[in-house]
Amino acid sequence: MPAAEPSKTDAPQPKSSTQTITLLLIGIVLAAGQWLNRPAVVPNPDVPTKPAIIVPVKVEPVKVEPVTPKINPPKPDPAPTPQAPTPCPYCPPQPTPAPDVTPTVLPILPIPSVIKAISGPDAVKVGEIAEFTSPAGESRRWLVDPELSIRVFDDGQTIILPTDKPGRYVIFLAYGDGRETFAAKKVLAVEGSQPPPPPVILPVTPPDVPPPIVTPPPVPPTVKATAATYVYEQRDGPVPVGVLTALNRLNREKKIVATLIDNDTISGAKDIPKQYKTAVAAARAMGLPTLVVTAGDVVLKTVKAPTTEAAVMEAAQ
Amino acid sequence: MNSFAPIDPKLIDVILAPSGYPPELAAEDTTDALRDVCGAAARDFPKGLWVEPKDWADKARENDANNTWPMNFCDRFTNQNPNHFCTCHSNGTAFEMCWNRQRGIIFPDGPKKDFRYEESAWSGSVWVSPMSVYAEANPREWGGANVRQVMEIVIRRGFLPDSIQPREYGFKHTLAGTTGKGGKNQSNGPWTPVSRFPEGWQETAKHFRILEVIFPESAEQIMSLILNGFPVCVGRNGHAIPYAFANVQEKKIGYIDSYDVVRWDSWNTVRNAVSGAHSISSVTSPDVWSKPAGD
Repeated sequence: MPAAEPSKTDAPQPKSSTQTITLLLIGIVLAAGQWLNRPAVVPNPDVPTKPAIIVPVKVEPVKVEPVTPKINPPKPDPAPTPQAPTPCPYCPPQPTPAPDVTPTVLPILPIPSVIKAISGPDAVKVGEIAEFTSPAGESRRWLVDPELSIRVFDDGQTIILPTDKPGRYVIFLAYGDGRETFAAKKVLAVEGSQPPPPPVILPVTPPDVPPPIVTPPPVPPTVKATAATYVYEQRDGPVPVGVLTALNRLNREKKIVATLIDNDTISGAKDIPKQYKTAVAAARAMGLPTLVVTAGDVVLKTVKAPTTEAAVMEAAQ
Repeated sequence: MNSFAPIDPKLIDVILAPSGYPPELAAEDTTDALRDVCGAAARDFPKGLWVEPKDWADKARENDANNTWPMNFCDRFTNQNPNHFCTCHSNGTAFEMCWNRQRGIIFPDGPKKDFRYEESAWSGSVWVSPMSVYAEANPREWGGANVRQVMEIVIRRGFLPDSIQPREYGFKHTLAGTTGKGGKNQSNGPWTPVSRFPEGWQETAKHFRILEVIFPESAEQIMSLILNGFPVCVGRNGHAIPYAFANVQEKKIGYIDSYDVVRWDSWNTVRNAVSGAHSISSVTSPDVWSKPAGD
């Protein structure tokens, strides 16, 4: 790296006005090169610049100075300046750009249209689920925070968050309809018995650095189901015989804990049995009856009102 | 199971020696009185569970083919002979059927005398103690108890587990199942008044309570419940029992009697048993099946 860096101390000293003018011109060219090397698009800090990603981010409580309760960092100065920018106290350290005399041509990224795209609650209590819905679109990708066990509905438009830890969460949504890319943001407060977290700074990607691309699948395909729970309301009708026989087979052949639970069933502690909390929350979101297949606390699949043994067995594979 | 098989006439409308449900107690078990003690747990017969009589045979054949009768959720007989605990044996057996149904486990042949299903252990089947309820319903031991008393107790504070279980669950409190004969899957022991229950027993009993009770209003609704896998408890002819099987062709309903045997009621007897008939349709469920009463 030092070899590619022109050293000012190694430059010959000016000995005439012509040389001085020449060196000034070289300096201007170098400065212009640095300016051109900045991103071609100044992103709106409210909008993720990667298309079709939903990024739910758990925000850890961060102590901040009371005089700076800013939600978003200031927009970068559009005018290039040779001076070093003021360090952002909330941003991760940025790599020092290496001077390069060869201007780089950067791709022009599409600027997402900002709309109010996410509908859902602003606040829920611990243990409740939060459901968010986006408008219809064609391209959509979801990023799952493992702690949140996000359930993505089959149509891709809706997610639910079974939340079990207090805090504030930010959901970024970016999606496309084939022609344009849209983006939006929503903050969810999960209220619990713990004291509310102090004001936080939302983790916004520094303007000059594209957000990292993280694309873990919602559930790795190798995850094995540990439970299949048919959640129902008995007054709505009988449990289909096919469901009963399928649960029995799953218990015996697959060693999956396959059970029934009426919507009103509680434990001896007069609460939803712990083993059913995730399944009951997911099933209530879908509407009863619903079969919920889980691996631990992660919902792998939901099937609304299955009636046949084959449907249940297939869901639990 | 074959519900269309001929029934031994000796097993139909059997009248037993006094088993704990004398007429003076039975007279108090009206549907209104039972609904009253059930309070918020009482449920009307759900219309969705109705099965048209013309469809009974098809539904019975389906249950035969898939082993989905209420009886298929029962994994043991009990034997009360010669005590008067019948209302508690009946309630306890229905409780266990509901528990196993919620667990999603089917016992292909239903209860079998002197036989223990291996799956009772790994599935988390729990055997409850009828004496743990009867001791409060009738502290005098003999004379029986009515359904109303028993129901109120099981909804309020639950059963204690039997001292015999299909596996070691680590229960902190248990009680002998009965002062009667008992058997391979039911312990017997001396009469134990509530004052001599193990210290802190309520902490264990609370995990084995009834949550919902459906009240059928006709013999046809009783049949519909049974065809849909729900046992129905009745008291009639001086004896309380849980209906759990049916021969729709002969129009007779089978029950798991607390004497190591399945017996049958004629349709006429079923009609006379409607008042006070009830189905335990949901019970408490554990946080973990391997620890039915918690840690």
